[in-house]
Amino acid sequence: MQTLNFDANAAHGLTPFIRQELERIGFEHLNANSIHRGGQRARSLIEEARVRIASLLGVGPDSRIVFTSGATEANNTALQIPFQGKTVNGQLVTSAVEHHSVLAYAEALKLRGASVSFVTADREQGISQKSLLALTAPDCRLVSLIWACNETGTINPLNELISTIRLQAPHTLIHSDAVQVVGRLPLNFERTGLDMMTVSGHKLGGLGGVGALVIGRRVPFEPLLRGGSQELYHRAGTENVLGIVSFGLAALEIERNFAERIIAMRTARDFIFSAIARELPQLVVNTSLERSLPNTLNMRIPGIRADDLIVALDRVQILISSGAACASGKPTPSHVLLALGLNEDQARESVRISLRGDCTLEQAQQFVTEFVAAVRWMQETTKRVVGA
Amino acid sequence: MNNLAKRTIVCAMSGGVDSSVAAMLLAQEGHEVIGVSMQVWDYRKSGGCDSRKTCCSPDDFTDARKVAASFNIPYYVFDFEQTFRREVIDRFVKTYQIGKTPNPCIDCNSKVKFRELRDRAKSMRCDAVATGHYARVKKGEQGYHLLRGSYREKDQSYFLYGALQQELAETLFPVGHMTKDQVRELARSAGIGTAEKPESQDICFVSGTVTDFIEKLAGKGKSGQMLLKDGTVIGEHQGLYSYTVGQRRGIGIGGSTEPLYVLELDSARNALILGPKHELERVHFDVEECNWVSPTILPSINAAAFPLVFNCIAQVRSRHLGSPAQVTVDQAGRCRVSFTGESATVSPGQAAVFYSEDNEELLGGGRII
Repeated sequence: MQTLNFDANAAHGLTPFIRQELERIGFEHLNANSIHRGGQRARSLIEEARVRIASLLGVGPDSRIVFTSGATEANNTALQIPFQGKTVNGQLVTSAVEHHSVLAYAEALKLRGASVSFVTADREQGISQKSLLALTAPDCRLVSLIWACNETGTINPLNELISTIRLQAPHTLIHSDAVQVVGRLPLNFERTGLDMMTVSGHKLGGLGGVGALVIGRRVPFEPLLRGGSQELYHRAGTENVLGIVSFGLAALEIERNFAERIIAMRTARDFIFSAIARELPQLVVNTSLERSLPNTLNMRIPGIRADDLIVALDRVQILISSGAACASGKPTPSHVLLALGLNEDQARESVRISLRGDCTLEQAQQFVTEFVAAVRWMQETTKRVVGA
Repeated sequence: MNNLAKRTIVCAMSGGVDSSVAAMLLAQEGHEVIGVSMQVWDYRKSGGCDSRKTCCSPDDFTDARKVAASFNIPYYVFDFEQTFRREVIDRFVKTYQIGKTPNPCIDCNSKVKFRELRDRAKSMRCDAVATGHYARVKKGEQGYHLLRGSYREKDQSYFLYGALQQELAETLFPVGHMTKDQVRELARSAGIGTAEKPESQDICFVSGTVTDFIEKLAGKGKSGQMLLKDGTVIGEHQGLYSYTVGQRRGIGIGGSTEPLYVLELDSARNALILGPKHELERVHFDVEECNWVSPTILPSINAAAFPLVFNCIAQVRSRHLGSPAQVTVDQAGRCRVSFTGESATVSPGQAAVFYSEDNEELLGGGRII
């Protein structure tokens, strides 16, 4: 039986194209900063990847793509830029539905003296413009808002949010964690009005361990990692050549059939939703599907615990999740769902289905069959209500 | 139990050596094993305890995960915090507050491991639940018999008296017939990293003192008088929950000619009653909230043939060796226990567990009043 990854928002997995290209390019790469030809080859592979990624993301010649170890490092890097020194001051505005790599760093900045404001969010509309307007001070240093939520898939109204920010605080830096948006929505960095944007390779079909921070021209950059001239002093540390190459290949593959890929994901996702809703009318979708990423469905079946469902589907090699992946493997109710107003029991019932870019309708059908069978079995064997 | 039939079994894995070997043995027998750790208590969030000293810490999960991976067993962490809080912690604190000494391991086994975990196992289409307890289950003509572990010094059956027949039918104790040394040896030869891991001690969710734990959850207790039986006031206590019946040291009284022991926690008067050791010994005591396990006794209980009188070995603490006693059951949930040989010290709130006269089979048990 083939494993079906419906947890692509956690990790997409290599696509056949990327696997094939990586095998052709080879796995051994020398230090891209070495002078010899081995170094030159690594350098040219990295720069080729940078061009491919810039093309996909619409990054212009005055902006920069800085490769990092992943989106977490990119988010941390963005957040520390306007808050240098042992003690800091000034305002950071972010939201309650961010990834932990933003939330935890914001908490750390707060301890060092920054004033941190958390904008509220709504299940249907996403991050609230009203709350953003009320919280942003004219001399705010940085606003960091996630573009599309990794857990719910809700797309935040980025254009409107940025206009609101500029109205209120014309000089503030604006950053967005766009990890889940790449390849799923049309995106052109230069047209967004953002100063910084975080992206990640392994959500697109590349290897894990590579992300990037896109930096616009007016950012007074300060590196997070120091100690080397790599990335033109923007990020010290030997480059992860193979990871960066795979990221570039993912960008190339996505750009080649951008629209078809989105349509295929949306078709499969909508099929899954309507087929399950037909079989299990008690299904509740936690978001507005029209405002969600085309590949993401966050939903719950009242009375069925998400972690039971995840294990049951894992046994038939179908991978789903209950929210953001966590190192301890410990299932905790999602902070995002709680922030959106779900209660603890509802959050514990919520599962996230997120499709790969190459998901087929046959796979979607197989998913529905197994999902419905698992839920029916649980409904028959346990009549207990969660938390009763 | 038919060992030859391939079953799908959830094995509770704490990260310790016993449950690691239990999982290994089942996997080697060819069963489909699913390893599960139960997250029952968030130490960082709820107690500020040193998680390294206890089980269920992230370190223990890492150990369990490694063991599972080495035998190609899928492994999951289940969140049982709500159930554990309700069935174990709340009851633990409440029992102390009313002047009794609880045994949370018993509640955890019956309400969490055998009830909740089994329910969850069923929802995953599993046939049975296995644990690393030192106890045995034997199928007889009338039903399932719960027996002490083959080697008495590690026997853990005392903690399992809350089991129901249906649960025993679907429970496996793969190391119940082994010694701890044999278990460690198996772990070593299989290269299991937890082979030399020390025993978990005492109460898993309390790493400091019980007093600190209770004060953290329920606030500081009310101080009151320390009395002798005749009413003589001899001092002040700082909250009854810091004391256990039978306790000698830590009372903070010196200079008495005869050592003093805690005789009673009188919650009505918020008084601690002290006295000499011989006053602790009880010839008989009452037990409530009984659960009857053995199929040799269940028919009489179900037929309500009260009063039901039988002889047994009564064990009144986890480390008590057991004393001969006569039990008179006057209703299904209640009985009187009279020691027929040596008497023993009993602590209200603790479990009294009854074994067959050959001290082999667990008949039932309840809470000492």
